[in-house]
Amino acid sequence: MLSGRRRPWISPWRRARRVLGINARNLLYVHGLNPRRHFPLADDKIRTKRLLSAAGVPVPETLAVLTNLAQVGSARPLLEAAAEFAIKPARGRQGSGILVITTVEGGRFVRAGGESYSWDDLRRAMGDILFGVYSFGRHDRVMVERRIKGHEMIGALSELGLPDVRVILLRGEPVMAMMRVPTVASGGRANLHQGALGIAVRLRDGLAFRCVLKGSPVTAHPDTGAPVTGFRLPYWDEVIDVARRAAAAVPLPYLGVDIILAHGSGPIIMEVNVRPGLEIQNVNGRGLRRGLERAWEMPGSRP
Amino acid sequence: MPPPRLAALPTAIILGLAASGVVGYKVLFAGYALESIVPVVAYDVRTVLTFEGHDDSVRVRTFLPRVDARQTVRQESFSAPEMSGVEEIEGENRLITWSAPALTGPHTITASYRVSARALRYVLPEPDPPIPAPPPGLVEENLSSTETIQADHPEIGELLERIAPAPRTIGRTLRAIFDFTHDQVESIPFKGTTDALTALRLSEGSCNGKSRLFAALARRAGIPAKLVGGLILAPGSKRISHQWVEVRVNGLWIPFCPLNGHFAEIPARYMRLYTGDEVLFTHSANINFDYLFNIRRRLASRETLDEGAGAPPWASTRLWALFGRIGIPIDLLRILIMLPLGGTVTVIFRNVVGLRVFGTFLPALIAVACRGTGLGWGLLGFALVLTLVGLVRLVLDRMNLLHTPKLAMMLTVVILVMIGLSAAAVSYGPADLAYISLFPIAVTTLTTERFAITVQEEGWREAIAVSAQTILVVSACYLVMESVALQSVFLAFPELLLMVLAVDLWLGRWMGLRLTEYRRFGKLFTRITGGTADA
Repeated sequence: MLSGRRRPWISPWRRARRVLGINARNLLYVHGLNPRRHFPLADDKIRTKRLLSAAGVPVPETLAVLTNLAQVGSARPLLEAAAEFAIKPARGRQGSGILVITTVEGGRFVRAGGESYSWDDLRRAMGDILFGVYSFGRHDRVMVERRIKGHEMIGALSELGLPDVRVILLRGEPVMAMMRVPTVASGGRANLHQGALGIAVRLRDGLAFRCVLKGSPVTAHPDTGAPVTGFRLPYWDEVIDVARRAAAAVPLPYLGVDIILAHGSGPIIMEVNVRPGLEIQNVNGRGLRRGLERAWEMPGSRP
Repeated sequence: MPPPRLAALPTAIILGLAASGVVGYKVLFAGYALESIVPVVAYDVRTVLTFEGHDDSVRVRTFLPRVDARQTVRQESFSAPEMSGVEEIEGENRLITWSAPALTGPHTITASYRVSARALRYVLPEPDPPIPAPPPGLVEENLSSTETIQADHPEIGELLERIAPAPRTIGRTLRAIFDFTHDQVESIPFKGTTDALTALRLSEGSCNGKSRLFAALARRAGIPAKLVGGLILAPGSKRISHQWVEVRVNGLWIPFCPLNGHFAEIPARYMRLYTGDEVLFTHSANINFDYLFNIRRRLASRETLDEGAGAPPWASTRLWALFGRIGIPIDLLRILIMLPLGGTVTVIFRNVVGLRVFGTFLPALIAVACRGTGLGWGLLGFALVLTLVGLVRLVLDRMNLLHTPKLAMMLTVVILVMIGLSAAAVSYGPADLAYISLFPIAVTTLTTERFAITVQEEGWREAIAVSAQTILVVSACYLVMESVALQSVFLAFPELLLMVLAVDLWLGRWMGLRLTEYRRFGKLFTRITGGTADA
């Protein structure tokens, strides 16, 4: 999709100054604004969730929190009954250690990809989480959540894993948004560096206006051929509203909020991030700085 | 934007001004001698003596360099297993004798020291005075005829008459003797001993033949002359020592080297070992004796050579001497002083260039570790350890172990690999690599752990990419921290560390894009393709 009207020419030098680099992000926003003592609120998914649900923000339903091997050992009936669930390390990073089970067949747990796990396999996977394999060796907890299915409107983009929407907010004001769509290359994860698609979403109306794969613009999903631009995301106003409410609930002024466009319910907050990545700028084709400065000066923004 | 909590930039400026103030005061008002911080060339000399014992008593004797106005000798150390060494002064010479009542099998003695010497040039008296009558007593032995310096022989007298006919003056005579021995006697690389007469008759000689002929002619002319033995300091390994001559003029001993053409001068690379017509090594018979000199050139700051003896109270040399008194080696202080620079170099590469490296200051610490081995071998050894232990760690991972026990196991493996590498290097390979064992174990283990985590989380490609970037930063740190110029300046003016603080402070508030981000976001600087929000 090409730009419709001519825009005034802006020198590369001025454009460069609109890009937020890691130094400026850390100095001005991540460490400049976010109090260090509140970082654990975002880094531990269980604490984040408690905080958000207390504020009435929709989060995935927690089936269980397992803190030791004995609890893992006795969780089988619960998991078999749930049949559709996800297990996650509470402090994992970038989606590592997450296992999504879609059905239970003859005592075996079947993953989203079709691979099936025996109970022993599953128990070992949860043991790894407890031992801190995904959280730098610190003891961690296993979070079991009910599986969330993607909204039917984005069904064509959900085949290889659940897409999420990342909104960056400063003092409660949305600054930039994108949707991350898993591909075969990303191994079902919504991780841009591993080859997930980044779709730029217009804040005003939820229009998917640009899609980037590993830094280069594309117009179709590389695996399924589904169109990746030119549509509007469902219930966008609600998405923005939920993002604002999540940001208001967490005492961290600079935030990345990850939202699932869930089937049946409205948008659900998956997690919040104190150090949201900068790749969103490449996806949107635009630097973050102007948006951040505007949000900072917004009269409605939280002081 | 939120205001910074403390004014960082003014603090940086104050620190910078303070540093330059102190340095300026030292140089301008306290008379701090700038030449004292110019690095000097020093040589690490290692003499390796090998022999075989046959269950008999063994004696090996050689000369050790003495400290004099021209040369300094430091860090002397000996290794002579199963033997006792006795040092003694004999006349102008310093000797060491190693002995053992009964020795069997191959043995090695090593003597190591660090030498630095100055070049000296003498001016002969002008106008050229006649040769004075020899003063009685004192220098008589330097005028006499000996078995190898046949000053009394008629052929020497004829030659002297031919090249410098009487009446003789000192300068003209020495010039004639020098020209003859330097130009008319052919230089040959002969290792044995040649006496003065043989050198003359064959018209050829090595350093000792020419020097003896020089001495014989000078003595015949009534100028006291003596042989001097030593070593020409050139990097590498060799078996050749050197001899030259000194003649006494106006109460001074003036050096001449008829082999290499030094007239009344001595170059800085001549190390003096003994005076007189001596043999460098004397040893028991039938022990299959051999020797080798191994010489390494290095730059050293004057501070470390002088160690603050008699320095004024404001000189930093005083500080170093103080630390020396409680047993802290100057080398450790040098590392401490240079480490902040390594830190700043790492910061620049991380935050300004935007490279990814293992750990925060690991590169600077690894650079310190490379001192023993040299950068090349250090990095190679490090890469080897990293790869081997990285592979072990991947195996350990399969075993599903707890983090700390796993680290303890890796520590053990790191030590095993390093000991193995050292042993292999000593036996088969480059000896320098053996110093890999001096690598700080904890640093190595931590780096290996980071490497393994990167392999797991981001794959081999990224781990190797980060390793390459780490190696680049290590090299930069090494070059900066091992720069003799910077070392000299920082050892002389430790207050410059305030300047380093100022730079760090400034870097701490620096918000520009990293160089690698210009590439990462480069597409955002030009016309955006693929749609915009305004479409």
